[in-house]
Amino acid sequence: MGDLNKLIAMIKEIGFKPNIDRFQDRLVIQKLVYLLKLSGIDLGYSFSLYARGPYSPDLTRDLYEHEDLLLNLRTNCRLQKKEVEKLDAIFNLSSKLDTSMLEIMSTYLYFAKECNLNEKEALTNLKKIKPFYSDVKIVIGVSRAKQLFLSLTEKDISEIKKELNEWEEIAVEDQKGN
Amino acid sequence: MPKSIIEIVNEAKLLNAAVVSLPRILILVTLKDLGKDGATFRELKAALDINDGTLFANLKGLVKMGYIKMSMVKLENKKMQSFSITPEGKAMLDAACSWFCSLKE
Repeated sequence: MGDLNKLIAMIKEIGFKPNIDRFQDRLVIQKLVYLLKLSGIDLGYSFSLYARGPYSPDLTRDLYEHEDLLLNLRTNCRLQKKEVEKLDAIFNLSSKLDTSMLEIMSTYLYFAKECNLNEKEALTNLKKIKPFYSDVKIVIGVSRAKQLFLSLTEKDISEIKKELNEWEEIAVEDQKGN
Repeated sequence: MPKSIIEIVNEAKLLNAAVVSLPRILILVTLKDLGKDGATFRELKAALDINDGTLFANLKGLVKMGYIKMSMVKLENKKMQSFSITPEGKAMLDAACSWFCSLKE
């Protein structure tokens, strides 16, 4: 079993109230735990690439076995300041745990960090396994993933933010059109 | 001593011939470790790189045989079909894997 105690503290910290019977909530937890792991907060679950992107069967098993703990958000774990900061960064960059953002960010980072692929190869693989996301969403998700984990200079961040704002404006226009 | 063709054929008879097709084996392998979560149609289509018609027909066949089950899930306010492997599906996949491995002996 992984560190479910800490996971519950994390979930509690961001005000997420998961219902383990809900597909979307389990997906959010999977991607959140994976992104936390990449950012140095290892809750003891190993991830591999499946049809669903990075995924841990052991985590799903724990979620079902300890559903009551998650439902009541019972934990005695106190998070460190550094952990809260990393959690907040993931929470904010994923648009408050938006599932498509979490999926894109985690899958891109799996290819970039775990498979050591360059940016172009990681993007190609991401599009292959998640072809159902629009290019706009992919660009935003990848930019946010880079912002979160890859070593960037202030200039890089400012350029990404500028690009991101432009794409987000397009996305808003796109949604209005639909 | 290698297995005789009679043994190989007899052992193959224990398998469900309708499962031993590449798309069906791939679907079962893909779903094997995903437990109750399973995978949505669009995820399977992307991962397996097979067309809608072939995927749909094979999923339907596996559901009918009881090796996978279909449920509706909600994701970002959209309802989607999700497929997960059943214990019978796992058992048939294990049997198929064992049979293939036995060919090497």
